[in-house]
Amino acid sequence: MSEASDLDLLRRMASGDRDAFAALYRRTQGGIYRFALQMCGSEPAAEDVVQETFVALMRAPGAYDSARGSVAGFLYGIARNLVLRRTAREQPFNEEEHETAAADHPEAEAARAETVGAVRTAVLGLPVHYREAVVLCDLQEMDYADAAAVLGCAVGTVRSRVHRGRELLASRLQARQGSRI
Amino acid sequence: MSGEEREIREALRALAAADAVREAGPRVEAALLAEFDKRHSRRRTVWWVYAAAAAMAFVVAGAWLAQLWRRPVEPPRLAVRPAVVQPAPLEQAKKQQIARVRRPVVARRATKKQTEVATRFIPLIVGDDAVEGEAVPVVRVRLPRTVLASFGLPMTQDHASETVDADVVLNDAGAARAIRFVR
Repeated sequence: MSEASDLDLLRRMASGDRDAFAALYRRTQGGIYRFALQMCGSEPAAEDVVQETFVALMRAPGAYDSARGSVAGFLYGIARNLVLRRTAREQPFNEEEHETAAADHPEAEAARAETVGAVRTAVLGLPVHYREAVVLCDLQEMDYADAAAVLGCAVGTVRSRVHRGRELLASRLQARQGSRI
Repeated sequence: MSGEEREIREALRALAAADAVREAGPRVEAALLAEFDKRHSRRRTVWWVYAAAAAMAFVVAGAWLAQLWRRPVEPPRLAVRPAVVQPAPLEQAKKQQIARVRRPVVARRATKKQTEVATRFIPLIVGDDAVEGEAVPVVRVRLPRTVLASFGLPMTQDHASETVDADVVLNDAGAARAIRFVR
């Protein structure tokens, strides 16, 4: 039997099918969680975003318009709004704090963890509009068109933001390496 | 692609790989499913309330319509003197009268029954006043009491569903010339 599409699951969910809701959640929550985590840098915050995203879906499943993109894209859009709201009301990102958190990994994986931690810190330090473009296109591996639908801007804008975001990342990582030497 | 850009991409790929298996904990799923159950049980309850309210409204509307159906419609009261007749169209009057003819009485004088109380003859043709005292063919018919109102005569709602006797004066061609109501 072929797997039900996200849209089928959404329709069934809207009519009260609990299993369809659970299936849609399990299928899409990972991406939403990672997006929120990479945008916020906090696991509890990412879990909150996931929960609020699916509660919003539950509340108004009819808000989804298939003409405007995929169900997953719609969910990313909700999550993005929640992340933006959260980042707007929280304190500006503190690199020092996250440096310490990233350095807490076990010794055995120190080199790799340090690289990952450094990149995560650098990503979290990007201005929001570059960060979300880099997270969606480079970390979530979303294509430019889908990312443009989530971000509500033109494909060319996404492309230029990704490019600019990578440049900023490179300069930040280089500066970090320079300061370590 | 420059070496710097390649390094950045590799670094980002490493971060993506490190996060690839990360997802929300089971606590989130449990909370969401509980929320889903709560919302849908509430929706079912609301649906039942709406259904019950709609059924009740349907019953009330049905009872009201049934009552309305049983109650005769009150004809518009004419603000003219009873004797002044601008009769209903003759054809219509004839149709009503012919349909209700009980027993034709030819050449019977309308004043024959001493116990009856009658209105004066109301001409159905404008200007045809010379009916009283003539030897004319008269037909006794029974009409719905609501007809009284169309001649400007008083009619109470209490008796609206009843009938009223009337004498209709015919001309030689059998057409109605005048009418009077008898009690």
